[in-house]
Amino acid sequence: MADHVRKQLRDAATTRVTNLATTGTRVHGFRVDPLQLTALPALSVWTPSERPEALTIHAPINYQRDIELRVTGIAAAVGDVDDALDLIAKEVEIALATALTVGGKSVQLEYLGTEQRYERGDKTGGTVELTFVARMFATGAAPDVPL
Amino acid sequence: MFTEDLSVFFDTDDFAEDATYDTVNTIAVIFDRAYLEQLGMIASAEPTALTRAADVAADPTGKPLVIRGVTYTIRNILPQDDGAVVLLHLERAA
Repeated sequence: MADHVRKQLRDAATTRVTNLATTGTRVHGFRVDPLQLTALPALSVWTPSERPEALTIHAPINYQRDIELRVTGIAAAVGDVDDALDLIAKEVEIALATALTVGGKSVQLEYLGTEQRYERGDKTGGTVELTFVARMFATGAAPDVPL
Repeated sequence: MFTEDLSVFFDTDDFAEDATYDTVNTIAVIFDRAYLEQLGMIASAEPTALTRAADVAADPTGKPLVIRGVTYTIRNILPQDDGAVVLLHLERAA
């Protein structure tokens, strides 16, 4: 059995944003533990939510699934960090501008917006969180098979 | 007017240590560098220096402070209580 479509989507997006000029191979999944300063700049790719809508009545119900994909850029700099964050955001947006292939299906990400945050420390730390949504289809009986 | 003798609080034989303020001035500070998890995603630290207000400019932000061989930039000054002592928020200069 294949992975859930959310994981397939996340994996495809992770592959797409790996080896970007600024963040390189420092691409992670959802982070529970913090990153060390020496491990920055980096990206975190995660899918925190999915909004399903039933398209059929009888089982197995076919769902339209709007899956939220977030890519968080993490950086630290002496002084202002927003320039580095905007560069990361630019590279991620470009990388995800064209459709991904998920389970043999073409999936176009829609860009929903960006939010930056900052905090003073040894160096100024910052994050830029880009939110996308992917519209996918899969039945409740086979959430691992994109339709 | 009563003049407080703060030197006892900044004795380098106890908790204080010498730092170089604004390139040429040696001042006594109590340095701290506690762990800080920035934005819940970055393992970092929060360097601060406590010192006598009279030892630094009224607005020392942007000036360098060298402690233990590391050059920091003063990012903020927080007067403590009556203002005779100030807490300096620091950031690494490089």
